[in-house]
Amino acid sequence: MRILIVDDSRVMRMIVQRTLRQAGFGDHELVEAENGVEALESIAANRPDLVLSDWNMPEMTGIQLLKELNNQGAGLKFGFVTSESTPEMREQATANGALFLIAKPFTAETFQEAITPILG
Amino acid sequence: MLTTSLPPAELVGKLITGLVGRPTTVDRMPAAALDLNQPSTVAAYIQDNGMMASVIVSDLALSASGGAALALIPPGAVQDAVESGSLPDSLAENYREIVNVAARLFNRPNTPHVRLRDMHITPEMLPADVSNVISGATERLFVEVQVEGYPLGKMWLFA
Repeated sequence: MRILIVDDSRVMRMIVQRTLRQAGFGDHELVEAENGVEALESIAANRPDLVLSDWNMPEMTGIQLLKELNNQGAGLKFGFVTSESTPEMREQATANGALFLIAKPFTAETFQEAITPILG
Repeated sequence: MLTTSLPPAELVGKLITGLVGRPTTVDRMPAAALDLNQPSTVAAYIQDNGMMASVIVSDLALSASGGAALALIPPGAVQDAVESGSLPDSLAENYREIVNVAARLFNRPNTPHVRLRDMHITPEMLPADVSNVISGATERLFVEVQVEGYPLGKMWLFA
């Protein structure tokens, strides 16, 4: 299975990868994109089983990415991993079909709880 | 008027521990002189209306230690930074992630929403509104921060 990690911070992409491995998802293929535009290109080339996206990114934000994927009818499983989680962000995420919103700092357990029901 | 307030010291430790994955202790210390002619990072936080809310100043040791610990870079890189008196770009970029997430330390259900505007690196000159928060703060918190395995650092919080 393929998990696409979308974040403009190189170190955060690394930490998400590390935490995914700690959570037991290390046998999945983990791919990266720096922003929503790169993510769309990556998705078009190789459809992932799950997208983990930051919220605030240059070029295209995470919520813009999700909306664009909805417009395309992509039907991808999508979750946010963000620096903060206001009620408004959670509402917007859910309204646009995100399956979860994990706020930093996160733990392997948080990832397990959110992702295991989705990927198994 | 609702204002931003400072977090308890232990929440600072909890946040850094969660981010870097290493136990981090934070101890309040008596007011310590802040010398912005020395290399340090200065994180400026604003409310959604653009008004300055708070500032976190981290000395070179803490900025380098946090930046290194976040990316699993060995402590030697921090020693090198402290000895050279400058913060490498890679460690600064990593530490910016920490101060970005640290905005949540200032967010409470009944206070204005706060987010990171910029992280400056002294001794570059700071914007006047940032300097004003430091000099005119009604709340101040000085702490020593120990990320396990890394040099001790100092942090000043102002609101």
